[in-house]
Amino acid sequence: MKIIVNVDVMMAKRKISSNELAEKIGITPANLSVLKTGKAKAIRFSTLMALCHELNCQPGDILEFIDD
Amino acid sequence: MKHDLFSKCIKIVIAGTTLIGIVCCIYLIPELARVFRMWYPEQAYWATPWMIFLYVCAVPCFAAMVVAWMIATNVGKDQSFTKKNSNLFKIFSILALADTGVFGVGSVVFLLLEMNHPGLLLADFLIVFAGLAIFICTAALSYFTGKAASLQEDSDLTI
Repeated sequence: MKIIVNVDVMMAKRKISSNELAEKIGITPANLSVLKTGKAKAIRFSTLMALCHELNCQPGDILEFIDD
Repeated sequence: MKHDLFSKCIKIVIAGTTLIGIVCCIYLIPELARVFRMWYPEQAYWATPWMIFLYVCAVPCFAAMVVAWMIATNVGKDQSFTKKNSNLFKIFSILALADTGVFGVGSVVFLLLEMNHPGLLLADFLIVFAGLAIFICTAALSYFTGKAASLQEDSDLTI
């Protein structure tokens, strides 16, 4: 059971790089990488809001639940 | 106080304590044995076994100083709340318990072998009490540091 953060897909659609996105949402590129690789244990609503704002999407577009 | 300054202060105390321990082992214990033989010639045969016993009990103390130095180094790197530090505290507590146990049992054995005095045994039990207190404190520190490490990890992986 896990939640996947599909930031890569939305980043490709919006044609935005990791460094640019990290700067715009106010996190470090390292933390964005942690998010993308699924190592994050939690995400703040403020970060999720900023991600959705910059990628112009809904939380459901970037968060996916997988039941093993 | 910043973590690097705190680490340096702890290291100075550890180095000083180790130095005192070395002075005790090299000079004080043999000197006490010599004076004991001089003052109590009938019990002179007590001196050598007790000297050996005290040297054996000193080994875990020096090992504990090495562990304490490693903990202070981790604190200096701002890695206080880590599983590594929790394990080091656990090792420290095991060393304290082992040393206390050996010392307590050894004191009783010496009494049974008529190489100890009941008054001295009372002082030995005070040392055992202090050793057990150190064991309890370091075991608790190990547990709390482990819990804090889990919280730290959760916090670090919260984006």
